[in-house]
Amino acid sequence: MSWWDALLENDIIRERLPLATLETLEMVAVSSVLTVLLGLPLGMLLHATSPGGLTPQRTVASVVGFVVNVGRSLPFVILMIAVLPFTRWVVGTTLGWQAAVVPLTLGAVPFFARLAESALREVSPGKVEAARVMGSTRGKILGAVLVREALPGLVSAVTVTVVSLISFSAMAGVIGAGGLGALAISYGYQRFDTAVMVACIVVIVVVVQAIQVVGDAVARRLDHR
Amino acid sequence: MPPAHIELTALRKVYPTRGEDVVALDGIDLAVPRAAIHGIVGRSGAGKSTLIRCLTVLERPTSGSVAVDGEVLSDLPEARLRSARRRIGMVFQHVNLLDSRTVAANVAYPLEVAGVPRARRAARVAELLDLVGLGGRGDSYPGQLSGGQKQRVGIARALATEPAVLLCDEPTSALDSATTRQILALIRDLRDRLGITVLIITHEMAVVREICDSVTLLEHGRVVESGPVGDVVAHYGSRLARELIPVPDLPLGDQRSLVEVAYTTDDVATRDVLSAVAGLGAQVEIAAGTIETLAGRRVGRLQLDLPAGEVDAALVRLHAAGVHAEVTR
Repeated sequence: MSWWDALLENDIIRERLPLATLETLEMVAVSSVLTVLLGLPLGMLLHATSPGGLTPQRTVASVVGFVVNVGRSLPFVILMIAVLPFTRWVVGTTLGWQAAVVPLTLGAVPFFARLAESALREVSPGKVEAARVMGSTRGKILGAVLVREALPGLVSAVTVTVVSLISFSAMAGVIGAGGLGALAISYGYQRFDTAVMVACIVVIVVVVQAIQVVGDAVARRLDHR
Repeated sequence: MPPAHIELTALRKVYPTRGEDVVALDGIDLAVPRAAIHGIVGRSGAGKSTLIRCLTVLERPTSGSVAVDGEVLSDLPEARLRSARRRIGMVFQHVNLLDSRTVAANVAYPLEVAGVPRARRAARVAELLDLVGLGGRGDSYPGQLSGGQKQRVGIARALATEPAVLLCDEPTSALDSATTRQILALIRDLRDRLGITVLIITHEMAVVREICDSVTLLEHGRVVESGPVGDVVAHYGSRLARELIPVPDLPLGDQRSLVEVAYTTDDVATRDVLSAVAGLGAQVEIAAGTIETLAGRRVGRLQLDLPAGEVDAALVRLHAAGVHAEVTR
């Protein structure tokens, strides 16, 4: 019996691995979309209000910056437990991948906002100045110049964030989110089933690689420098 | 005299800082007539960048006014200013094209901002690219172009909304000398064809020599010298004349002096200057010299190396020959 057959013979792997993979993909996909939807405007706000931004606002910049830093400095394990009441209020339960989306998104938004801010900061101020001289409104500069020119960097930021979300999602498995993390912990760690542990790791590695490859390809396609 | 096309009146810009205020522009008066090419020169920190930012009112002047084509821009509210800026085309040292857009889409950008319908934009963009000698390159990305080609796109973009004034901020400072000449020739050609008024900010005297009709020297935020290039070079002792017709700084021998001779052929022919110099005697050497034709005027500057004891006699004889001469060292 080869090792491959041994893997397929393992009931846990055969029955639970596909489902766990699907759960992980679902919670990561939904929280990634929410993270970008919330984090990009936040990153734009951080950039616009910073000194030298489109509308420098010292107070707004420092308040938003402080909130983002607090969010980033909380370890995810603690954050996800701390927000349990909020999760229950939003989703109605604290169990399942749907519930995990709440702490995952809350954890990733400040992280992505900072990455988005630095991608926007990479756009040379000369381009913004040129757009202003040509009579652009601030909205036009934000969309057609800043975000569009920063797009390759923003795509890379999304890639990094999605990969981090996969890692966070394994932690969420500890408090009942399901997915590959939960499978690896309950069978691989608590029941010493090494095959399950290895299978989970392999799937995660493959998923992360795939995301990185796709993300890099998209960023390259968008980059005309 | 026709009314000035660009007019700066008592323009001041002060940056308040903790401690002492920084005066970037200290009462600039400047008038540029329609279809002229005017150069603004000065060392870094002289106020050139602040001046151009005040001209486009990206910075509000502290006091004084900026008028373009008869309209006072410095008083306009922000919304009106946005449309007023369309009458100013601007060319930048680092071009500042959008890398994510094709050449055609870059040139179309100011037209989008101005609300020109899509169908009209395409025709105008093609026309503009032909105008700057880049017809057919519309689908390229800026990253695929050379520095000179990028600047041509920058110029096409600046002209898109048919501005009355073209502001060029160090347009050739990032280019090699052959490309610089091509870009300057293009700017002159556009002025001739479109009748546009051009203001060029530069630290390169070669740019002034090549295309400017008139020039202003800024220092510490003030106008030090200003005038038509032909007149400025005829003020032999002036800073601009020295920088436009430079002679090298020379090592000086023991008991020797340097006398600088300057003339324009309006006053005296080069051959007469040279024979006057030759008449000074065997001890007098021409150590360096420049003869140029600037703004239709032939001007020359010579550096004479002679024994210190003969200086006074030499000056008398040179002045008698109708030549400007002064001891430099």
